[in-house]
Amino acid sequence: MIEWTDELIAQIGSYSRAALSYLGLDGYPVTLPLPFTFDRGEHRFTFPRPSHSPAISTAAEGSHSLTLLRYDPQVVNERYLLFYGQLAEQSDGWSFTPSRVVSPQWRGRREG
Amino acid sequence: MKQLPDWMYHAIEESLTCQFTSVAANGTPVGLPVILNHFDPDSGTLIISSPIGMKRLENVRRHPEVAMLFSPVGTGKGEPSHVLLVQGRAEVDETDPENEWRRYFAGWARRHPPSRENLSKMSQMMPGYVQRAIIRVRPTRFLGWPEGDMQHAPEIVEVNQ
Repeated sequence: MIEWTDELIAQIGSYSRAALSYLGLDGYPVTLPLPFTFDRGEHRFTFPRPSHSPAISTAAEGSHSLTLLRYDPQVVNERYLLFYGQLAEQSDGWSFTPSRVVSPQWRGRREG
Repeated sequence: MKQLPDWMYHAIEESLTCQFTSVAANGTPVGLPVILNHFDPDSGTLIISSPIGMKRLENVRRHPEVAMLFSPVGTGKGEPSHVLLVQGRAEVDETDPENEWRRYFAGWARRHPPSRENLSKMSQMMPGYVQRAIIRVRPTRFLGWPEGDMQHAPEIVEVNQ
């Protein structure tokens, strides 16, 4: 369960990029950079689905993650916020409903 | 390794950051930002390092199939606009966690110059930070979208290992 605080929702708004991860049919993970919109009422992310994106494994249904990313050129750093959740196909794209959020212990540190 | 299109080398060598995706115990792929330490254009091997004890290392041992995503971060001029997803098989090398990663530190610091100064600070904040395992990724497939145009089919280079 996620506690959807104002602070968390404000944080989401501060991120500029999203990387969506899912398991492909051949067992290799797939991570795609996608523009996103966030529905503050439904607490759901939506993305345009890229043409020809690698197929999603049905074996891993419900096991997807979304990393929000923000690169700060002033401090040459990348910040992130990681969500676990469920990905669903829509007529015009994908939607992602988060079930858990993870904040890095040292926010702002990139793992070398 | 098969020759890659020039723009794929550019995406790997000049990207400021990348996301390394490993598969967690529950089967969920998790992509987190890392700094590429080294890329060997002849063999295609990509190298990163991670502190001993990180979940990422367990994930790789359990499920060696991984992915690395190179894509623009929005810094503008000079930054590769390409999107490149590298899928491959990874192995963890913990034989010399004190020193082995230092062989590749120049590549890390080139992509992230503050790391040279931050290293001692990070080792104080997180004592295990400088005890690091090497993760070597041997690519099996490159899927790329030149200029980041993801509405077209990706260019795919398969690698026979």
